[in-house]
Amino acid sequence: MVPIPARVARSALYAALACLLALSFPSAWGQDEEELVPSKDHPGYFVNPDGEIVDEFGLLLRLFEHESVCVRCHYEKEKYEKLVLDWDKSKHSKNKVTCEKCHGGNPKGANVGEAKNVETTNFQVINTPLDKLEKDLVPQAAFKYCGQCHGIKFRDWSFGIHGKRTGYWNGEKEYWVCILCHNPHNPKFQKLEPKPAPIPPSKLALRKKDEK
Amino acid sequence: MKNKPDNKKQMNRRGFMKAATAGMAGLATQGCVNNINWDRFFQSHFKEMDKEELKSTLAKLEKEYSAKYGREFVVKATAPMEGTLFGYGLDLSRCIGCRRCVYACVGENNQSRDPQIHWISVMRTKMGDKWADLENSTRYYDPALVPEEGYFYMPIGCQMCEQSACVKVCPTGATWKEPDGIVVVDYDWCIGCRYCMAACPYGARHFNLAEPDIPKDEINTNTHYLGNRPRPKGVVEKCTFCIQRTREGKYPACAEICPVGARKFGNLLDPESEMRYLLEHKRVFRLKEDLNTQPKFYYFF
Ligand code: HEC
Ligand code: HEC
Ligand code: HEC
Ligand code: HEC
Repeated sequence: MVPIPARVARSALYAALACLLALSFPSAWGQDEEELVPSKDHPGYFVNPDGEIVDEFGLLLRLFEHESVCVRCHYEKEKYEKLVLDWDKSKHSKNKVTCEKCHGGNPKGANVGEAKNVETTNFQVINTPLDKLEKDLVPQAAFKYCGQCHGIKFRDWSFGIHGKRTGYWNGEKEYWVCILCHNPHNPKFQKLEPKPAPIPPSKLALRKKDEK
Repeated sequence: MKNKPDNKKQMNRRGFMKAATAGMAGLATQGCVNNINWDRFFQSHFKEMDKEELKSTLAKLEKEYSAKYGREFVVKATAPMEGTLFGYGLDLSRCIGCRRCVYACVGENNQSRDPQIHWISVMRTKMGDKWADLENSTRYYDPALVPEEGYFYMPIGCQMCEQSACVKVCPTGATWKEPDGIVVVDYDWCIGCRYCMAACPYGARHFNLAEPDIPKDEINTNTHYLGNRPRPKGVVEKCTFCIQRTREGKYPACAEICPVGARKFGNLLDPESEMRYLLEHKRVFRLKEDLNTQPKFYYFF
């Protein structure tokens, strides 16, 4: 199957939604469309009657509340759209934990060079693969990106209570860093499919050969 | 500390054996006990074996299992480490009831797939329901995704009681508490009377109602005499804190697999251990504390 780009899929979805809405509230829909005016501050986006920034389908984008070039530019890049939308839905976005809180950089930078000037803004590209991260740097990495705000969780983690350690209880251990369990851009722990339930005793049939 | 055999119990067992053998002779004539392993039958109690006998017993078992499963087996009898007392911690606020631990345990410890034996039961309880006696809880929940809104999950296995009811009622001394706190079963001495199952307040012991069935390619060939070696029909088995792993310093299989990191394991005598930190800094409780079984399995929030 050819993957459908997220944007196209979204357009289709909203087109379908629009049809439904148009059927149920024909007049209201017509009005709304008229009232979306192009945004001066955010070229390519619109302002709705309530003064909120929306995209071309009227979808409210909380991500613009943050006035951050990091958010804007990454949202527009196909490759990072999902990352930004994930983050937009997360508690981090609601609590103003913006990109630069973890990555550094200057969210008000006029261009990429300014936004990501490594010398003046301490911009961090987190690109050391975890398995290459040296063991004694692991706690630092965990502290830097998460621990500086999640102090209690970080303390528990550093004593082996939150998160997990594998290997030897009396020796060499692997410390699982936060992002092995939490997606940094959508940190809520995701639900899992459970393994099969045990067979109830009523259905616990003995095998043939033992029955005789 | 030496593994001193408990003489009173040995006497009981000996007396019992005499009576039992007399009875057996009668049965044997009727052809009911055609596959008795007489060598095994007269084997000493594990704690009484000297080095030589232990070595030859382990070698015999290795040969027997290797022949049965067509794979090379190791049967160890790794002794307890000096200065260790094992404890287990389980974070109830983190457990999501995914049962990864249940199946990791089955694989590591060679539990029978059919009839099915699970050493770990994960109990689901509605928040707000009375839960301490587990009577309102179920182990058969089966949603598409976990955790479910409004429920919490509590995995239960052997609680490794200091005052183990199961050990007290065993008529043959086939189950006892080791110096590192692990309650073990000698499957060659277990007569399958199941008194221990009745005595255990946690439902942690399981009986091999039939010859255990384990696919040859799934069998774990790295085994311990008191732990995950293949069991015969008619004996009781239970969690051993993965004795074959933990006595070599490794974490138990359930702790390694847990995707949420709810399972903690360590040495209660080591002030630097995760377990000690947990006991000192978290609100911990033990199941059915009022029975004075003094488990070394701590639940916390
Ligand atoms: C004008 C657009 C633009 C702006 C503004 C921008 N970025 Fe980027 N960013 C990109 C592009 C394009 C890439 C992909 C670079 C590549 O693949 O080589 C990228 C990559 C990244 C990466 C990953 C680097 C990697 O190697 O994988 C991080 C982290 C990042 N940006 C953070 C930020 C932060 C934080 C800000 C704000 C301070 C920001 N960006 C501002 C366009 C932008
Ligand atoms: C809570 C801290 C945190 C916040 C907030 C955050 N990031 Fe990240 N980001 C990380 C971490 C940690 C990694 C490294 C992930 C890894 O190595 O798997 C990362 C990786 C990245 C990457 C490279 C990974 C990839 O998928 O290519 C990009 C790009 C990126 N972040 C952009 C952003 C943007 C844009 C924002 C703001 C919308 C943002 N981040 C907000 C912590 C954060
Ligand atoms: C700049 C501070 C900051 C940083 C850095 C940060 N967080 Fe957060 N995080 C927050 C705040 C604020 C909340 C919301 C807390 C609340 O609602 O109680 C939060 C919430 C969370 C939650 C709960 C999410 C939910 O939906 O329940 C998780 C999990 C989390 N963060 C993980 C992380 C991880 C992992 C990192 C590192 C990659 C990280 N955080 C980095 C501030 C931060
Ligand atoms: C082994 C996996 C794992 C690791 C590693 C891990 N966490 Fe968690 N974390 C969880 C789980 C599971 C939850 C519970 C989520 C829930 O109940 O929805 C959680 C919850 C949280 C929460 C939300 C508060 C709460 O108690 O519900 C925060 C904040 C958090 N973790 C931060 C961190 C930080 C910071 C690190 C690294 C220092 C980290 N975590 C490492 C699995 C992990």
